[in-house]
Amino acid sequence: MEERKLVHENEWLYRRSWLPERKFLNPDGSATSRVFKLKEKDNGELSVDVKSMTTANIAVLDKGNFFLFELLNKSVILITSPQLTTYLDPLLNGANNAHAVITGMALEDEITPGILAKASKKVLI
Amino acid sequence: MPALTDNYTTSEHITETKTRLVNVHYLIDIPQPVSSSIVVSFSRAAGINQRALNLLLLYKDLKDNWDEDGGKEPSDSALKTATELTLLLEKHGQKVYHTAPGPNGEIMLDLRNNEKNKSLEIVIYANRAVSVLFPENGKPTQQTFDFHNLPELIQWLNEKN
Repeated sequence: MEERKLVHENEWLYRRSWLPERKFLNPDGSATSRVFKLKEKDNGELSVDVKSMTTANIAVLDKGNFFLFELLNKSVILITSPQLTTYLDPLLNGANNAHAVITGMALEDEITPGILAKASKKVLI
Repeated sequence: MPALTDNYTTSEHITETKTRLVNVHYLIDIPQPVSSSIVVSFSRAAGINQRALNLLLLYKDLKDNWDEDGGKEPSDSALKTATELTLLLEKHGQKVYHTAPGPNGEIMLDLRNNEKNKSLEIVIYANRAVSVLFPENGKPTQQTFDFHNLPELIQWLNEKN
């Protein structure tokens, strides 16, 4: 199995979230912790895109139904308990070469999603 | 007059003057014309958690895959507990800053202090709930949530550092 490449700490990451209505966001427009919460099917890997390898319009896919949040990878890997790591994880057949995953979070972890949400900001598209 | 003064006592009258709450019902048995109607409306200011309650109603309509990424629909028990908790907080004057559905069927209530530099998240699943404390400085902590812990959590949130 090919070893995955680490994403550099100075890279910005995009996280997409389904939010058909603005009122699903925090009243100040920021992301809630649920935007960064793992699902069972994620197998412990939170999907993001590397900003320098894509564009906001491509990453959001459907800006009518999704919002995009960005955060610096340094703010991710500074989290040491649990130890988070961001790996490049291009999707097969070139579907999304910018795809990456944040690993190290557990499904029961309710703290890290909140920390990541507070470190993120909404992208204006 | 001697009969009056001989039987006079103050103690009984004092106990009798205690305030009592009495429900009075009036039965009206007057035939009314079929076409008559009386509309009584009470103007009531929206509560501090009306926004959160409205959102919880909205989340009841979410179905599986609501986030187009396999998100589970909010569980009935999580919605019920979140609503009860929101009403309880309303009663005690604690504003719910925001509430949001999560991808695993959970409902999250976000409470903040006045300065918005501390937050308390209560994450409610179908069969458990977790409280997460985000202090102004220092490391966040999470623990199992129980309604009995609520007073101390609210005290932590609103106490000045």
